[in-house]
Amino acid sequence: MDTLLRGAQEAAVIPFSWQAPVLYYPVRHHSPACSWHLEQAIERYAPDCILVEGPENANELLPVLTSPDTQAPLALYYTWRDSEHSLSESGDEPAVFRCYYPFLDQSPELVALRAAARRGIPGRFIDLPYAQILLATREVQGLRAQEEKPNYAADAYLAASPFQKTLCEKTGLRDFEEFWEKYFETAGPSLSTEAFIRQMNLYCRLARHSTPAGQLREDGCLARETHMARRVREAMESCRRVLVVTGGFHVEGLLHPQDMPDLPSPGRDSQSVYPMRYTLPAADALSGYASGMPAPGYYAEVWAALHKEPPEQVWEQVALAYLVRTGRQLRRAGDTLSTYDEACALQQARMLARLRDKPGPGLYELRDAVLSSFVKGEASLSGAEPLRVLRQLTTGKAVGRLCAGAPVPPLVQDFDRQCRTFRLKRQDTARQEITLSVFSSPRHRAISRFFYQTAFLDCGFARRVKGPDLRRRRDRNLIREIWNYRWGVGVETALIEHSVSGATLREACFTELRQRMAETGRAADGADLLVQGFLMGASDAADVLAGRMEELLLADGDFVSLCDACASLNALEEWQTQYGEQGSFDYPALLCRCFARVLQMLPAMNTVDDHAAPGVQRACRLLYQVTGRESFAAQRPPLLEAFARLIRQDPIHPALHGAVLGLLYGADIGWKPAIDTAVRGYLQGTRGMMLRSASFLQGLFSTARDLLLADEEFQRRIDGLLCGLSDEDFIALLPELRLAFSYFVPMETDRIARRAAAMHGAAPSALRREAVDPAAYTRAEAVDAWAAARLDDIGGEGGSEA
Amino acid sequence: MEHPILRPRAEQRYREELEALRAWDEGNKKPENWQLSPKAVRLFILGSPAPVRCGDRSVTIRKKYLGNDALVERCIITLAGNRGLMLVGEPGTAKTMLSELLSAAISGCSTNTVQGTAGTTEDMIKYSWNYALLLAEGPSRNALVPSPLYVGMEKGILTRFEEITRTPAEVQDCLISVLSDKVMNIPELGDEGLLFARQGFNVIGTANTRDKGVNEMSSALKRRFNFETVRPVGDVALEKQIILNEVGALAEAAGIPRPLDEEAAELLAVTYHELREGVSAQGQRIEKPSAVMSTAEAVSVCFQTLMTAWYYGDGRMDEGCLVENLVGAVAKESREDLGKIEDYFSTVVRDRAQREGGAWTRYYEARRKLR
Repeated sequence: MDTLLRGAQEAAVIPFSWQAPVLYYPVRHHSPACSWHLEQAIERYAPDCILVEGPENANELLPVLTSPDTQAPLALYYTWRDSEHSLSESGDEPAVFRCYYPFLDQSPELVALRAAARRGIPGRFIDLPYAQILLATREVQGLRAQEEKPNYAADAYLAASPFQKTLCEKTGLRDFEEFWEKYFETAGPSLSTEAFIRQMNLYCRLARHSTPAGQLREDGCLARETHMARRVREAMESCRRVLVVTGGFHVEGLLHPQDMPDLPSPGRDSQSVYPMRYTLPAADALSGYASGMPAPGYYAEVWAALHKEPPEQVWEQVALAYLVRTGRQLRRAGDTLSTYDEACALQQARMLARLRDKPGPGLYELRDAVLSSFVKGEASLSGAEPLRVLRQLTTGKAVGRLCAGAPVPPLVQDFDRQCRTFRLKRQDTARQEITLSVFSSPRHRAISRFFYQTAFLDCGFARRVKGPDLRRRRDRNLIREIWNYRWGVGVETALIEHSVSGATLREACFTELRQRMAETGRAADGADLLVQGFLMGASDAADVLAGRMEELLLADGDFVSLCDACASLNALEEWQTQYGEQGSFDYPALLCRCFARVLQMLPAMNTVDDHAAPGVQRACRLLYQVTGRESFAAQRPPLLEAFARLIRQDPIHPALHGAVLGLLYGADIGWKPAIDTAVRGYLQGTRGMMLRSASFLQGLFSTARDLLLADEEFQRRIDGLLCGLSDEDFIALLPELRLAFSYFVPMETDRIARRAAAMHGAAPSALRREAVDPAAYTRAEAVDAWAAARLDDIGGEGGSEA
Repeated sequence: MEHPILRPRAEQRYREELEALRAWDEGNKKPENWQLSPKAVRLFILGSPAPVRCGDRSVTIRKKYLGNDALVERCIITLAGNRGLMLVGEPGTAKTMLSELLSAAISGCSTNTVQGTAGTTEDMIKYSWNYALLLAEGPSRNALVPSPLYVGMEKGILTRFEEITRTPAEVQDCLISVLSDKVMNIPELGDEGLLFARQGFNVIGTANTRDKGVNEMSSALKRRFNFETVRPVGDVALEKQIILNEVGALAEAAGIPRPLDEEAAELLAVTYHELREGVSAQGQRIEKPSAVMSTAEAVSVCFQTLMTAWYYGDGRMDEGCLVENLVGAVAKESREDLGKIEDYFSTVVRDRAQREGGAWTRYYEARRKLR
């Protein structure tokens, strides 16, 4: 390593002595080797106090972190609501920030804090409080980067520095992680603690020097270091021996802090921090939010083995354990892997380590061994199952546990309180079913609202399996909702993640509803949010949401989206009486505006393609339906006017033509001759037009099927058309003809069929066909149910993974 | 005077490097019967950053296999172990070259090879007889004609089996017991009819995944091999380097002293890379041709263009000629591929010509040769 970096004397810049009043111990987050030497260093240095890098507003939670009943992985969840608009425009909704600080058993920070607790000496975080880190950070840099799950412990500094690439090329290693493993993880435990710290300091110093100074300032690094240095000085006043555990990158900054302007301190109430259970998959660097090292499960096992085996045997033991486990899992899945394969793989891993001058087979040798010895055939997507299994195993699946009495955010307390009020089983992890008469029982409606709220926050708690579906405007005839709910560990974690939005479920939903409303650009989505707001009973949000909805209606130029919005608003208004909750989400003005927008665009919809035609057809029917309501009767004439203008357009999609003519006929029987003309025109037109007649009929029957029933002449003409078709044309028309006749109820179909039979001189008995064999029917139903259940399972699994 | 041969063996081509490494290797641990230690083999194939001292000279070890270093390391370790090595991958991904280099470095002999075809029989793999001697003497070691597998076992060297999946599965299966028991039964020789493999023996198979995959291989045989999938080069700069290296070697053998045209290599590397990946560096989606777009193909197009320029032209590699050769290389399997190349030129190459000009503009202008 020294020869590699050619800088033994460089390391001397960061002094190191066991006698110094302050010992700076450099770490990389989640590194077992760092933790291992840290334990030795604590033994040897015997500090009076231990200071750890981490936002100090979490200091009150240290007893929870270090409690013997608390089990890693866990995370601190920091939130800050910028209600003073320090970082956002004053007119906007206050910006909300949050980040995770995960801890695993092998995280040096946790090891240090636990050691402090065990030794009965003070241990605390010394970094700026979370909000101030954000204030010191430029937009889109550091913790203010736009990430789904910002991580306090991301170590981009060590991994992404430009000299890192050169190092990998020079050493012939694949990437930073392999470099790290070779020189720090596998080699580390056999070095003396002094040598290890020196090597860490040397590497981190070089990484720091290849990071532009501007970047350090912009992502708040310098401000944080200045603050940490101040805390170290303060600690020195009361303690003789201070151990400082920080990211190796910061040690130099702590030794030479820069003068930074004081940061404003935001109100205490606006920021909060809670401990939460964490999972190994979430802590895996590969899952997208770099949190330190990859394969946390693997390194957790290395960490455990370091306390059981001599360091030089650890790697081989862990590699063997993983090979055996991978083999067993593959065999369970039907693979024919033998013990001999496992022996070959272990040998491969061992020898690769020797060839690569590594002290023992690490993660990379393990992967290589599995690739060589377990993958038979091409390592394509399908052939690489062993690697997938290994990846899963090395990631691990452990879930942490918090000790009793760990503080929970008010949101979780509110959730618990409501569960108690509604007598919902909170500790049972089996799936529960509950039937709610939402229209007759206010209590049931309240439970339903609660369920809708948890569903809106995506907690994975409750799922409606049956009942009236206002969002899709279906099953209005049902009067009961059936819900499945299940308490799981994920529910609390999800609630903690939403705790930044409010102290109660209602408040959190309200906040997020407004946020989502502000983010969406489609009128259809906006109207859907309104519907959800109604279902959740967020009546106090109604006015705010309506204001934004109005903007959306003006801005959205998409016909289908506006029609959907119109349908949602209409349903919302119609269904409210059913729920007995008129008034709160009443938007006649919005509906009117939406209606007017759609009406305005309608005549230009003549040239839609086959794909979009059903949507426009549906829209026309919906508009007609809306004007059927008493309060909208005044809109009927302008609608008919727009319809009339639409069918005057040429060309027009035949299905649309048919549907609109049907609607016009419904409003005014005087349109019958026009329909007759159009039908004749299509049926007797040129071949191209004739081929489109099925589409026309489909549109027509979708809105005016009584035409065919009332008028025998009409049927005769259609019969004539069908008789004149060649087989080939008939096959081409068949799908649309089928669709056209699907609008009739069975009795009507029967009548039409009898009439058709009579036209061809056949007796009605000729129509009878033998019914399906009951046994075959039962069997088909069973198959169908089985398939539906399988699909449900797959859907469920997919959901939980996502 | 000795007539130069068309293509010298790897161990002849790199004799100097191998000798230097042998000297460097003193004291390193080697598996029995290996000419070099695993570390030296790695250096031989992946190159050494500093020249290796050999007596009073120092020899530069060139990097011969560009791409995946870890794969080479796995291959070396596999060969030192108990199982055979099977290199699989698309055609033209340098599987054969890697297998040659490994045998040259490990056994000092890369020619102990079975060339697998649909007509390969078991006696081409194990042994056959000199019938005159057989009739005269009866079955004896003297009358036996050893085939590569026999030779490998007897001498303790590597046996290469090229295109193993081209041979019928029943014939492939004769390797099964040899690979597990390391002994070959020759019943004709009676009591002496057992050939025990010497240390150092192993088998390197190559198989391409394009026309007849490894799926038809019996699972018993598969279990006796470690598989390594050789992928096309993923990096354009690396691909360009490979083209330059390979064409340089070919040109030298053909006695063409011209310095190589880097621009042409760049055009080809980018074209082949993008057509293979189906997406351009700017993210434009490209329809992939069904023909194999391997680096080896790019090398041959480049070399052809170089020769045309050398013998017929002024020595400069003309883009028009490059495009013509490209057409010859791509339009092998279907006419549609040509259309895809045309589309590629009229979108990706056009944009790049506008952006970068120079060789790309000339390349774009040569698109009329596509017809």
